[in-house]
Amino acid sequence: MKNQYDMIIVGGGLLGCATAYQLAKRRAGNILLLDGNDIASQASARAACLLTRARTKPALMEMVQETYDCIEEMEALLGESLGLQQCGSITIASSEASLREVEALEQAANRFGIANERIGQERVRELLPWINEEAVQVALYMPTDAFIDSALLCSGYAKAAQKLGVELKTNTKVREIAVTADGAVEGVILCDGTKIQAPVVVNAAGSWANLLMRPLGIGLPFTPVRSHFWISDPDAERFPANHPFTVIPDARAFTRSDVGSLIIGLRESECQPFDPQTLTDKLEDFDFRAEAKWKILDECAPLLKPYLRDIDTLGIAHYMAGPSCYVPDAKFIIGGFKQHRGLFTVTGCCGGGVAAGGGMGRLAAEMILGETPFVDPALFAPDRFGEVDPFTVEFQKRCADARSNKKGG
Amino acid sequence: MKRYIVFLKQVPLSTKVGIDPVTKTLKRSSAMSQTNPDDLYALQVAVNLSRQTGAEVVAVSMGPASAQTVLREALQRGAHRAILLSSAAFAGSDTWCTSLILAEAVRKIGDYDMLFFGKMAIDGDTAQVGPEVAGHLDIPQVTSFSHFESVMPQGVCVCKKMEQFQQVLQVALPCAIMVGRDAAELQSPTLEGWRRAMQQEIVVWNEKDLGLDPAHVGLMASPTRVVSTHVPEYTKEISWINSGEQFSLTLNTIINP
Amino acid sequence: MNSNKISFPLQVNTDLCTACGICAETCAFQAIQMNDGPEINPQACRLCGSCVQNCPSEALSIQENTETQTEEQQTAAEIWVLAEHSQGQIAAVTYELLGIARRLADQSGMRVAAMLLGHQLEPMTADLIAYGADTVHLVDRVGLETFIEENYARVACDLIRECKPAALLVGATVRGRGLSARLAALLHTGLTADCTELRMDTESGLLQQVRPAFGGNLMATIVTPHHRPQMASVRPGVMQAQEPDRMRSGEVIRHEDYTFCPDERISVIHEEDEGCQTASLSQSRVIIGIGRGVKNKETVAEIEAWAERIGAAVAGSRAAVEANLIDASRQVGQTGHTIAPDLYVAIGISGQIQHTAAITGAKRIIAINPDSNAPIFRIADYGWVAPVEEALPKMMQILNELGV
Repeated sequence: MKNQYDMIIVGGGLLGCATAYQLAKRRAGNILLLDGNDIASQASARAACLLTRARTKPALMEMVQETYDCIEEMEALLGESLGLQQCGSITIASSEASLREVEALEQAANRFGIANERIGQERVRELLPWINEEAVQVALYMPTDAFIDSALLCSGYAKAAQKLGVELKTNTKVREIAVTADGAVEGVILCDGTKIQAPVVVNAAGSWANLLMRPLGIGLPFTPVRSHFWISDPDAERFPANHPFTVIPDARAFTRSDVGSLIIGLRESECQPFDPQTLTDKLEDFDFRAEAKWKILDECAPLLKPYLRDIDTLGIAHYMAGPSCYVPDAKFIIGGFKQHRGLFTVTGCCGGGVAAGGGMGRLAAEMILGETPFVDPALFAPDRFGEVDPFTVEFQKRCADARSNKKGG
Repeated sequence: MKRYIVFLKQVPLSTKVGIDPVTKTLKRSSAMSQTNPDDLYALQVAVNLSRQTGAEVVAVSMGPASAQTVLREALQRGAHRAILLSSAAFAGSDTWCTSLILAEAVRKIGDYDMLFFGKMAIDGDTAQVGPEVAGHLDIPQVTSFSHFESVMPQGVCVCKKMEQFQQVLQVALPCAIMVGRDAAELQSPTLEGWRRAMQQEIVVWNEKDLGLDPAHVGLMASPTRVVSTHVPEYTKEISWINSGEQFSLTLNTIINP
Repeated sequence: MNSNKISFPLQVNTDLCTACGICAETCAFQAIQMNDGPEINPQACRLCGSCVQNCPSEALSIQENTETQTEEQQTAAEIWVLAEHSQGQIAAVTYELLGIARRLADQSGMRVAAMLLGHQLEPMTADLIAYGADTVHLVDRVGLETFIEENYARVACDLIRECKPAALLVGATVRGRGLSARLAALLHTGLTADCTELRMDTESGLLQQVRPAFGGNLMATIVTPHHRPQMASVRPGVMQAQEPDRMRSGEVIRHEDYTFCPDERISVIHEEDEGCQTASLSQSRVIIGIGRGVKNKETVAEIEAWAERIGAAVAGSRAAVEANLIDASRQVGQTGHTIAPDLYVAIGISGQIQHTAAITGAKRIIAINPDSNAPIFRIADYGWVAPVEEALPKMMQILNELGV
């Protein structure tokens, strides 16, 4: 590690690594990426990993497409597979409200040229051996949707970035972002006191991002909100490998296959935000309130039961909780800061880091390099809520509500 | 009525601790707790057997009020009832005192066929409590339990495995069985089990309920005493390697001096 | 809470307390809440004493009960070692225990005795004396030919009650653990498991037993003040045996008039015994240790192939066992094997004390780990800071070229 770079990226999760890759691809200079732990070891190792193409927000669709494009490019660059599983997706509606959602998705998919078809109960049963097809009124099948192991994708970005010249330094925690008297960025100071200089610093520290911004008087408009999924006992016949993932808005649920088991994602009616100050250095040491494992499953099971009849007696082998960084309007935070030249952030994944990470990294890189952005950056401006204090309970509740009120799974 | 009693301990989720480099004091990385892993296997063996024999499975834990979560998990995983041994008088009990308290609880529960213990707790690593309870009660003990060959009303035929040593024993009931992680496959818990567990009451007993004199348990009555603790110091000088060549050179000079 | 209960042993002296909060912060059991001063929750407190140690103003104390509950017992000035044997062979750990017992006894003017229980053991008594025993207490009986914990514990208990040794050392082996714990219960005495160091305090005459606590990040010194014998177990490979001296003289006490009744509740149906030496790990000169940093089984297979070529054994950390990289029977650590090879190569092992406590006997340690601050480097002789996936191909290439 040298003591001077052109750019420093803080955070080796999906967004930091994707940004590093997009910058390196654009020959942006000497880049250092730092992480307090290992690459892809925190929230990016706990994601649901769905790459849903069709979205009701057009900009988001562009960004997801960028992720698919990145995967293809990186596989060619690295000469190895990143394990994309093109299993297809099925969005299921059984009520008026969810039917309208399906229709909107259908229109978006058609506009964007994403393959889709409505399928009948018999076909649903064929594709999803575990489901009670009688509960399904409308099913929209998108055969080109895929999922990918989020940690593999994240290390793919990192390895590709490294191959293009980015230096990765792990288990190196940043204590603060250093700025000059007039507010311009001059680098970072590590926990051991080492100062590394760079005129550009990208804060991609995920759940911890606000802790780094606080001394600069910046409040990023998000807070970590608990997301979680449950993994059933294996049953290769009911849950065959790579069967389509599902989104069931009426059950506030998604499912996907996991080598013979079923991953079940459920969203509680009132989501749980966390104060970033309470975060531990490693998520494995953080208490996401373990009792939620059964309390939330108990709350949500009646909604899922019409589809998965034996949810009450299904063996639950694992439970995984992690932080998703939610923004009140459920849109990302990407951009720079007027008062601090050279400071950028890419964060606020709102549960979309896997699907949209490639696009988020691209937008961040374009803004850092002053290129024409491929989507409208105003949507993601860090200051679009005015001044916010992410350390207050009220603001954290607003962010949690963004997840509680989310459409889809 | 047949009865199996299973003992479960609440232990830290991670035994990792850091040492503050300045104050030289202990810093625990995480405050979360879990059920001692070996104890879940002990419970599984008892629950599996009770499905054949119709025995009642009683889960017992000793610890603060928070140890109730361990008993809830035991109920969820198939125990029929649960008892928490909790009292400030129990604080500071060493393994001898702990096993005395557990033995007294066994006597109070009464009429038991088998006691099941996890082989070892991850926060103490002593593997003492099970055999000590068996000693207090003067009943046979089966350490390094592998499996039951047969279970009869008067006795069991068990197989013990300890590294290169294997025994098949005929043991009269009641007896104590020490279970490691290779003795069973853990069954995954279910939501139905959780709902059942949440409706059950956990009985709490203190030293009075057990008829124990507070002076005979806890720190004061424990035969062992911690007199001091220190942070181990390492003073080795290290030589750094940074290439495959250096590695093989170093390796060679050590292996073929 | 009832009022006639004895007051809680951990007390705060409010005159000395500065309310700095260190005690609350460092309490491993979250038993201390800071309000105006520390408030102790007796339900959560385990009286571990770390707050007492950490308090900078000495405001915390654990009250010792002044009147002892048991009478001070008259004991013989002897340190006993429980001899473990199998297939007509004394286990190595017994010689190691005799070695430490000899050193402790010589410092304090005590004698060393070995307790040998079984059947047809006479030939072994000479070995025990050669390795340091002054006396061998031999109980040689039909019914003891096979190792049954209940029988051995009963005989040992009777013998100890009769002879009253000051201390008893036992191997922390699969046989020794269950037996010693049962014996401690029968004798109503303390037992300290897995001691890494034993000292005789000449002033108090107490055996100071040092054992790792909190996963080994802390070493606790434990004594058994009022109960006898002071029992301690030690894992194989931790203590040093002394060179056998065949010229040493010692006394064999054959307890021939001891009446032994086997426990009728237990009978052996079948037994297989391949001896009490543990696997190749204890004999290998070179051991390669695999940690979580070795991320997949393919890499493990590669390391195993290399190890086989150079005649090394492969072991793993608890994390590697948990990640299914290596079989539990090859785990090195406080809950696995203790090793003492000429060379230990730690690959992708961070060096949690639970692992390092079991490798301190290694003469040389080479460690490969991506984190230069990893604790493994504090005990390694040679360190290579690199991710395993980066270091291993480089190392393999050279080793393959050289054929080593």
